[in-house]
Amino acid sequence: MELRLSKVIKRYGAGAAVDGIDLTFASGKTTALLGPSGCGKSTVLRLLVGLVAPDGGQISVDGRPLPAHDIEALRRRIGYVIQDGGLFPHLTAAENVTLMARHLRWDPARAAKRLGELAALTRFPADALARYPNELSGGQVQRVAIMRALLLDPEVLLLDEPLSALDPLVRTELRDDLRGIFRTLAKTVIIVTHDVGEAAHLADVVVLMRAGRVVQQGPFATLAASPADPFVTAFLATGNGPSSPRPPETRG
Amino acid sequence: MTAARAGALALLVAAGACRGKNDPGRAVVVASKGFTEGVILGQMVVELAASTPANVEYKAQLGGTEVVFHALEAGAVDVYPEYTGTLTQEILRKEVAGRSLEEVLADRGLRRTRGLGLDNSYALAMKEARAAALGIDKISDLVAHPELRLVFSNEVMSRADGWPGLHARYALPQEARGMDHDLAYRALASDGVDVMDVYTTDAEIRAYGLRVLKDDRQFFTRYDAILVYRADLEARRPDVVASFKRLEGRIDNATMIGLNARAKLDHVSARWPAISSPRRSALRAAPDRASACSRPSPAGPPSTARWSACRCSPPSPSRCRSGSWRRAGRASAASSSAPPASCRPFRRWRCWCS
Repeated sequence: MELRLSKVIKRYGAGAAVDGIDLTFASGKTTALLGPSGCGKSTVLRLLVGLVAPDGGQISVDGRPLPAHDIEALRRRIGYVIQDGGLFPHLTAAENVTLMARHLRWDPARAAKRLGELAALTRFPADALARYPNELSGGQVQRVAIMRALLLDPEVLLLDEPLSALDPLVRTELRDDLRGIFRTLAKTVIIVTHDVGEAAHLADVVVLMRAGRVVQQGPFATLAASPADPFVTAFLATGNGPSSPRPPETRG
Repeated sequence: MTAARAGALALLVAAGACRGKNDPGRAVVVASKGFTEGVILGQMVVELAASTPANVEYKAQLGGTEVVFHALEAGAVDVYPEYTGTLTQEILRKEVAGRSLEEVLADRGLRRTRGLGLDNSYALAMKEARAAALGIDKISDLVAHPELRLVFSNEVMSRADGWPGLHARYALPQEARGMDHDLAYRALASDGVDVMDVYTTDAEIRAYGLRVLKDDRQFFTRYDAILVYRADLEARRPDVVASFKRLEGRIDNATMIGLNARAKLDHVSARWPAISSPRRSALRAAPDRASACSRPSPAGPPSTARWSACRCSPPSPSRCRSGSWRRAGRASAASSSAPPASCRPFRRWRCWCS
């Protein structure tokens, strides 16, 4: 599935969250939308799944404008993971993952088989599948959310800051696992992050945004070798964007 | 010192004062600063001290240099891993002019061990293949290659003993840019840049196959790892001091790079690389962990040292240091003021503050 934004504008009140951007998300590649808070990167994801409508420009899927698609059918081809996982608290991990399977009246054996596959893929412990979200660690919650997003084997996977709420060690571990999952599945993946390290680690293409616009895009090595402007240089210097510096691990 | 740090230190000092500094039954408090290598070295001290009858407490990642050093001076901490360069270049910089580090520490009621063997200094590094192709082996070789792209962490860019001084000492023709340390490794690996600063025991040196350039004009200060401890610990717990002095000269840079890699890159808990390392000769006399775990537990949650001694999966200390315990799982929410008694059940326990 190829997703394309052409001169897309999205305004909230007087300000433009997305200000006339052109982006193409290539099939089978992982793209990181990177930038400080409020730069419009999460809005791009919401536009792609039709949660918000653009005020200008065009979004197309496989060459056809988004409104021409059956949006419900399209969403089944797209997995979406939000920042805090968004699990239903009254359902166990397994029930959260297989929610759509029950909705679609899958045979229980098929659902159980798929659950096992996903648990293995995401390295989720089998004995934790019967736990409720409040009995899971932050990293496990995100693994369940990723399993749920992958249940229907979507062509595209969207992840909105999936690691930002995790403590550093869990974050690093899940980041490495995500990289493995993306490589294994070879799906079109779009991940939103404000952390350059995550973007560099996970993505084939990094799209650096500021104030609703794309400042620079390309492989991380290109951004590192030839920063397009001082904003890019400053962003790379802090690792987290000029507005939220992260203390490096040093010996002190 | 910020108000928050000062407040934290005041609490630590108060806690230390309540226990009585010269009480031989008082727990020996080991601390570490907040980065991987410090935590590993601190854990080694804990393991060695635990081979004595002493009660050992570990305050891992207590804070930055200033907090941990002042906690040591105040008696809230008994020993922690430090670097000679950090003491002589930063925290005791004015006092060491014309005097030895040992004298300055003694004035403050502190002592140091000999070096543990590793020197975690600054250095410059390049990808091995690129350095070999250009024939670059030492920093002065960079002078002949003005086209090379250099990046340094912000700390090195701004410190007098960082890029400004290095640039002048070697008359380097390149311009340098600031880049986050972890990002710089990635940029170097993907050929986005050519030269970066490293700490000489960084896990990534081996992982990325880097060549560390020789500092042929001796610009960078040595940062030998040592243990700094309270002088009164010699009288109070000489067995503990003797136990951790067994680390002197035992950990070279290659070993430390391997241990850092296991913790930072392989995600093995920072508590355990030291234990599982085949080169852990200094630690072989540690007691059987299972028996240590089955000792009667004190009332309330176990100390951090108990947790680490039991090789369990402790929950986040910040959430669980106080409060009661209950078994994980929806059906069983029975509270208990005492932790489980042996290692295996620990692995199935989580905790919540109540």
